[in-house]
Amino acid sequence: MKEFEILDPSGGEHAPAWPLNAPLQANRSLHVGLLDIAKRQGDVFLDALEQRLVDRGHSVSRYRKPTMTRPAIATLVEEIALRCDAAMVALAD
Amino acid sequence: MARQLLLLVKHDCETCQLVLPALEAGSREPGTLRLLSQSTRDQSDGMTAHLGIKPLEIDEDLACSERFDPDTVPALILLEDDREVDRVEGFERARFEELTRQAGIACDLSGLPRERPGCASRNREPEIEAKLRARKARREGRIRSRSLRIGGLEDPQESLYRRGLTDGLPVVPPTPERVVSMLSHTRRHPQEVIGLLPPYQRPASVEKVAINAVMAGCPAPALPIVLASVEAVCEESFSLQGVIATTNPVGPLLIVSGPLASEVGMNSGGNCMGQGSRANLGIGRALQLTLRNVGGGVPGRDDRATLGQMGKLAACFAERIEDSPWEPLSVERGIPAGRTGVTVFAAEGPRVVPDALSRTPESLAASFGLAVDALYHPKQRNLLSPLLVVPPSCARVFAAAGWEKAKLKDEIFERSKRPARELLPGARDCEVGVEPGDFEDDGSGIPKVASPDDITIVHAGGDVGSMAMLLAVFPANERGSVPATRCVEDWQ
Repeated sequence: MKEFEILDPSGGEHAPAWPLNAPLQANRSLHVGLLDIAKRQGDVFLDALEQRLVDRGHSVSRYRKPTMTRPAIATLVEEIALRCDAAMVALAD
Repeated sequence: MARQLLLLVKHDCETCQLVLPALEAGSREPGTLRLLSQSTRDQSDGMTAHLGIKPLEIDEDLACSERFDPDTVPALILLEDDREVDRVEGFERARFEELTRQAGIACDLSGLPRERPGCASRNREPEIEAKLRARKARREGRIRSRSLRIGGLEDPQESLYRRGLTDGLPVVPPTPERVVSMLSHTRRHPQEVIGLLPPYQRPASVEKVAINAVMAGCPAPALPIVLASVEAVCEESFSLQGVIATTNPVGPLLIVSGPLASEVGMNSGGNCMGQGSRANLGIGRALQLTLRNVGGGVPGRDDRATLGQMGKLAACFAERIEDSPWEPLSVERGIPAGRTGVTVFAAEGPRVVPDALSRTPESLAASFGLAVDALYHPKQRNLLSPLLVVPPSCARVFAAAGWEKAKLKDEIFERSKRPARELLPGARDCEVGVEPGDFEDDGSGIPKVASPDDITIVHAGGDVGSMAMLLAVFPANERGSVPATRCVEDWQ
């Protein structure tokens, strides 16, 4: 059988590349954003995570989406990006 | 004004062989007559050697044939400043003499018959015609997707699967020819973007949807239904991001209502939610493959479903309108009667509600209400919107009693109520439940959903069997996914 051509069904070919930030330095104090997506018991997980981070000398800001079923609004993402060195999201139950 | 004659021929056409020697004599005048062969160099040289004339110019890649697009060869085309002003297809001596005279070419055609039909031009061979159409689409920018090469020794199915481009089942390889053929069923420009698909917010162009529809085995005339369904899932309130990313087993379920459903071969009758209909399955699968390949919602990575369900391969059926006692779902949702609507729901897998004993609408509605009460989790409330598919045998019971959809919804709503004490956390040895005060309780019990309007009812299925089907759909509110309906004819 001869070689044949197909068309790429994916949407990734024209997508812009998303550059990664440099890895964080573990030996300095960080300001970490904790995002609760409004899923049940996400706050329990984030409370424990916050305690661990604070115990290790980091500071924390808490954020919350109105509902888990919608992506975070752009202004919330922007605020976390501006104010925090890193973000952690409590996803599924 | 520079005039030139062009003669397109092919090696296995007897009429071409008849006229070539006489015209070849005229072509010795430089620049006025080009004899172009649609055949390969070897085939063409074999013919000219047999005829005892000099070798012909080859129409490389059938470029001239594509440009002038004749039905028949020999095709004699008169050009003026490279613009066509006249042509003859097949052989007509008088017309050939007229065109050669206009081009100032001296050739003697008197020994030839008065007329002779030609043969199909090579650009009319189905496979070549398809290739030429695909090449033209690429050249004109209607096709812009990257080309992937499948090697001669590669198993195309294995290759596509390994590239992560399938749903696990074999697909139809989306060659440019197949995609262009699929695109001929919409007037929309292939580069028109229908919307951005989550989770990676990638543009779903008409071309990309057509590629995935080919892969799905979708009948080409059904492409407008797929395009309309992509437009529907892009409606913000449908919350596609949540539908893809959730651990819940929901997936997009399509219900098509209106004349185009049967025109493209969709099934609204027996087993319409099962196997057997290429159109039902092809349309549903085309949407799923588009979401996966374009948006990037890959199972296990972005699609976080704990278990998923079989309907996430393809979930689509047509509403049985012709003998439905109720108005079509599409009309209910704003599409004009006589047109076709596609409605998308974020639906779980279906479950049957068998009831062969009820002879009254009240008893049948009670069966439906009990089934609604048990949907999702029996002790939870307001976390879903029920979708009830009523088969003809059940619908006749309601029709005979004059029950409109609204009355049936009201009755199901009432029959789905459960005493508040049974829903408390811990009741019936189960920690799940609703807190006292979360719901108003007038003593009649807590209904499954907030309003009878949360219930959707459609008519579909085979003539025999009192087997309704019930699906839990994400709640139709800002915390869930609001079903969306689009007009299919807009995408034809």
